[in-house]
Amino acid sequence: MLVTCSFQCMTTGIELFLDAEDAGAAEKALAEAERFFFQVEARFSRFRVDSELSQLNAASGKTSEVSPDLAELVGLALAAAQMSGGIFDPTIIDKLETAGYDQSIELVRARETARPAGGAQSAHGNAVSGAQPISGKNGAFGWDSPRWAAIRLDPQRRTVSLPEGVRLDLGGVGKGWAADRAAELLRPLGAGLVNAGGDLRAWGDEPCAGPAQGWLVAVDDPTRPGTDVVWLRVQERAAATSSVTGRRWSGGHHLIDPRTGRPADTDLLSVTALAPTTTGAEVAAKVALILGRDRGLAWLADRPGVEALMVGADGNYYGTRGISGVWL
Amino acid sequence: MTENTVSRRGNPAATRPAAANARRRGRPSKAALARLKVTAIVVAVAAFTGTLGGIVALNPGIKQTSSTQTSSSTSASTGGQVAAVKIVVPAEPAAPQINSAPLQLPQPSQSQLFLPRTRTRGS
Repeated sequence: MLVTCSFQCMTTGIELFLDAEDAGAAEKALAEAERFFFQVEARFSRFRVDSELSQLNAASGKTSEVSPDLAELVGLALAAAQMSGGIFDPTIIDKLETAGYDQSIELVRARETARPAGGAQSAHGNAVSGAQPISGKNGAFGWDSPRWAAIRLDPQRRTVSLPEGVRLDLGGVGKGWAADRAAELLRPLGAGLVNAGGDLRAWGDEPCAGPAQGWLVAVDDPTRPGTDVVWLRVQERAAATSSVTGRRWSGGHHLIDPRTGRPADTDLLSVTALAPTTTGAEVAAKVALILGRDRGLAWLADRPGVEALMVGADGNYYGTRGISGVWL
Repeated sequence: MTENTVSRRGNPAATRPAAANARRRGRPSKAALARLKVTAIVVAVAAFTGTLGGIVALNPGIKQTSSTQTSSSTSASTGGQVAAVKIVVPAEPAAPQINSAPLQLPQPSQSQLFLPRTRTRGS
């Protein structure tokens, strides 16, 4: 029996699907997975002053002992930065804030419709109206220097050392990581799918998919939300979409190009990536979107096991060589 | 008038274009020198902007022999003046084969439209 659960968390919609023989056990497991998502948000959101991440950021310039989960997340974010040559940069909070993304996206949009909002408090303690974002050029590290490369993570001792003035944003890997962990929780009970706002992990076969194996996933049209671009068959892997039309406000969108420090000027509207893990798919989609069509395709071609579908700003669709083997 | 005509016939060089005269004398014409100058400037600009490097990297028919950088030079004699342009091609890794042609996506069939599904979207 297919049991489903949906809720709002991490400022997005979360959907859980579990095809289990024991419906009672499935519902219990889904409830546990739902609690897990809220815990992740409480612990690792940069918008909560009491989150473990905000405490780590507040202690920049020092070495902090962190939980195993935060150590894992920091390790993933740094690995993603290294793998992408710094295109994925978890240290660009100041640029996000300068672009206007200094609160959760709902609050940013609410502020835009009700200006002047006046002095809302952001996680790092600055009043929004008077925020003084840390300029890389004024800090210990120039903007041109990869600040993430100066972060020290000791996985054995579970310590993280952030250079003075450097703060981490785990938004680029957090949802994917949570989806992967929730999938681990649910997998023993049967086939399932975890969808964290479009970043999803699937295992086993969807009961209603007919002869098709895996799970059917519609790729949303970035220009007409709710409309399908194409259907993908996601089998024992993950998919994630990054778009410049989603988290958008008058100042731009949330995908900062670290080369310019501004919202990415890309020839793509969205990238949907498939990868073995949701975190991997999430990172691949973001990096390809920021790089643009040609450089993004070249970068993806070097990543075995990763396929991608791109929606171009020119109205065309582009993709990796293997993407046609995934669509329905 | 007639004498002038005869004179020209008697001196064919007078009726040839300057370029032809220059070639006969084994020297480049002013027009050819100008073209060389333009070519040298275009090559220099291309090298400066990295365009040439991109072309070399993207064209599988052109091989880069050095892993660090490749350089070549061209020069044009301009009657005492020498315009020398050194082209430095920044080394780039060979571009992987990519397919950047637009894709034709399949349309879901009517029966598939009613299947339960979830969506992936940018958030």
